[in-house]
Amino acid sequence: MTMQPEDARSYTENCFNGEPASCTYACPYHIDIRSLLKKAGRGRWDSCYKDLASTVSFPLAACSLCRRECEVSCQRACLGDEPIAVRDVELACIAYARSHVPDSFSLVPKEDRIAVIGAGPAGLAAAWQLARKGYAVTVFEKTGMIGGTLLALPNAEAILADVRDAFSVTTVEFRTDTPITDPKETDGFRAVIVATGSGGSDYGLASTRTSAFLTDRPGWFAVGQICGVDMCAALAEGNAVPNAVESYLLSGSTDFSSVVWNRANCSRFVDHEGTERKALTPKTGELYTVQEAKAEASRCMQCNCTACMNACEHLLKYKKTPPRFTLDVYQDSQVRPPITGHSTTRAVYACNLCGRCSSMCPVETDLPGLFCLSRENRMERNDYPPAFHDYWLRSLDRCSGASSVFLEGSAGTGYAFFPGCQLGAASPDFVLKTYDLLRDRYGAALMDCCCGAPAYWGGDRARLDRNTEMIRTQWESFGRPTLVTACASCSRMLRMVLPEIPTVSLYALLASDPQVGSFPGWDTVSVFDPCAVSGDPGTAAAVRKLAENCGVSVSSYDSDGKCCGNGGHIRLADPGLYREIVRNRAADSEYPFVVYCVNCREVFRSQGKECRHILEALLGMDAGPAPHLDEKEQNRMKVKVHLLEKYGKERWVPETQPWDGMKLTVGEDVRAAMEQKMISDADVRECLWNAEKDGDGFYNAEEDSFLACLVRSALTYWVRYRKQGDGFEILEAYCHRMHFRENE
Amino acid sequence: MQTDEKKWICRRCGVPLVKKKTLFNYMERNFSEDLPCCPKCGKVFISPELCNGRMAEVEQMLEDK
Repeated sequence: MTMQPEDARSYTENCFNGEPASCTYACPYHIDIRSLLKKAGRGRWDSCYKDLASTVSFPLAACSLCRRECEVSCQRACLGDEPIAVRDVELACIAYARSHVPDSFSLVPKEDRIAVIGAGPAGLAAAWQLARKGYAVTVFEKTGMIGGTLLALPNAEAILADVRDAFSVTTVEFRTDTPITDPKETDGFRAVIVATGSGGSDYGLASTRTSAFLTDRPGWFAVGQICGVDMCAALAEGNAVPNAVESYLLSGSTDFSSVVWNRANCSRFVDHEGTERKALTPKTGELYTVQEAKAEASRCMQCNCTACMNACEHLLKYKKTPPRFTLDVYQDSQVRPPITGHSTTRAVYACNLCGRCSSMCPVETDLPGLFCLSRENRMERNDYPPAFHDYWLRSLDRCSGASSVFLEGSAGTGYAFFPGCQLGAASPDFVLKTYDLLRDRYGAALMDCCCGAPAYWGGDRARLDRNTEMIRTQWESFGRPTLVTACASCSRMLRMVLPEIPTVSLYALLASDPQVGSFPGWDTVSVFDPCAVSGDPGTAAAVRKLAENCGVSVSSYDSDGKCCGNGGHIRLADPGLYREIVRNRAADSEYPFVVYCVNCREVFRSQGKECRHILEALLGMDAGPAPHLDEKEQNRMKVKVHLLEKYGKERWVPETQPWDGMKLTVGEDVRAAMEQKMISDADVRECLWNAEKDGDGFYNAEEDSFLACLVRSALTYWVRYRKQGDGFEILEAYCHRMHFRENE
Repeated sequence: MQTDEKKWICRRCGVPLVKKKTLFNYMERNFSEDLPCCPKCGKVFISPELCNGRMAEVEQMLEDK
């Protein structure tokens, strides 16, 4: 189904990253104070002045009228500090900017003529902003000079000098001594802005104006002191009205203008806990010195919620905010390659989907949900990199197909063990011994298949639905038992796709019936909680209790919902990020890890981190180093053969492939390269078998070696090998994701 | 030097390889490159240097977008 913008937005609609800060809401001119202070902190006075001018038209006038309302909303106050002296910093920007003459740039002039009646603060600001947009503006002033009430300010001379500088690069026509007494005098103008000031004529319109300044008379707007506001608000309205005028001229309505701020203040939450307190920078003279202004500007905490980004290696690396990702995900759903390109492919597939960002977010933004939506949408449209998830999707098919095993327990049993596809793959004993125990204690049945997580992570909805239906059917045929899960990801997956199935964590069950084991050689350990267990403190506590029962003391380490690296199957999508995450997690605790997710175990063991699964201690076993790809497949088959023989009373012979018997010699370096690219021995054997069967491939007489190729839908494999007695020595194996076309 | 294409022959046809324009496709983008092929059966030879070098670069570039 086609993605709609709101489909993507629903995952992040509450995110307020990038929204104006509370000071900007409070400022009558809505100056982007956060950005201004950032630039001022670096001493970029010219840039600050330009930014100020583009918002308020005449910075000195704006500062002179400023009531320092932003200071009331400054978040520094949350820490007990004095608010930032924004006005003083702005005055420094004005003083230290090298020029107050705006940049002149060629803009195609617009044909629409606009009249501004009154040359006070509101009228001048409206005229200047409209001129900057390219409109032909004429200002009618009843007196002999421009400025209106600004002339009464003590620094009127300096303000007027700035106003003249500002208009020096525009073509605004000023008609002084020209009162407008009859509205007909403005015939020929497409819009008229009434800014006649206090005591001026409002042509009976001021009381009729809307929140976007439009009056009852079509094309006539009213702003400023004539409408009963003070000078400061008058200047602010003069700056705002051009947006309404432009919207009106383009569409006949002011609905598309952004002049109305929907909140009086920033009601959002930004956590400043732990931020260093900084005292107000004292002023040594009338004006801040350059150093003082920079120091004061640097006190700004740049209030913006980045809670998720600070908590996640992925978000730190890709440097995109939730609103940005939302836009990119939607845009990618509309891409029609090669005419249009993608925006965020790798980032979408490089997320662990652990949900830590959501748990850190004050408004529960759901980036993992957004990325899953994108993965699913792209697979549905066949617009995705298949190599990223191909290995795991094929593995799911085997785990829920050829190597799945279902054993009914004793009659009336309430439990079925659901070990998950990776537990037996890591070591058959994990499943065999645990099942023996659960069968003895509870008469448990067994449902050994994949929970569907690889399909969910790969965005393969059809595969996930098929797998879910298979589990449901099996579960119902077993009399709807409670599933005892050994993997937190399985529990989370089952809760999501089959909420009607009751589940209990294996570890919570074991802890309820005291189980004693040992961790030989270890005194103190850290328990690494899998990310999927987040929100299930019962299981986390049960594992700690079990570990303590095994005679070790458990450190206070808390993985805090962080993923070990395996989540979301990012290993092929972003190998660099995967390695970084694994390294970081392994270094998080000085003590060996006790884990209760077999994927965490594999990840940490591969990294060389001391790590054991809690079941190793409880079952008195050592599962050894992390198995390579083919060992995992073989282990799964061993589990099935053994269980069917022992409990199913049948001899089961796995289906074989013609290449299964081929003997391979794989050196350590070659093996490491294969594991990194996730090329299995089975892939190599199939490749070789095809080549040897037909005498296909290439031959190098000098080194007496062969090169064979195997094309699959996601990957093309190449194997360089030498014949060695009745087997083959593998010299190199590599693969690519591109397809090539032969004979063209 | 084991992947110097001059040292390789097509196993089936027994002839040395020649360079020929080969078309590639990935993520709906098409490319072409002169690659060693068998002049008789057209089988394309991709060396590890090409696979892990330029091809990987292009793959990554498209996936980064």
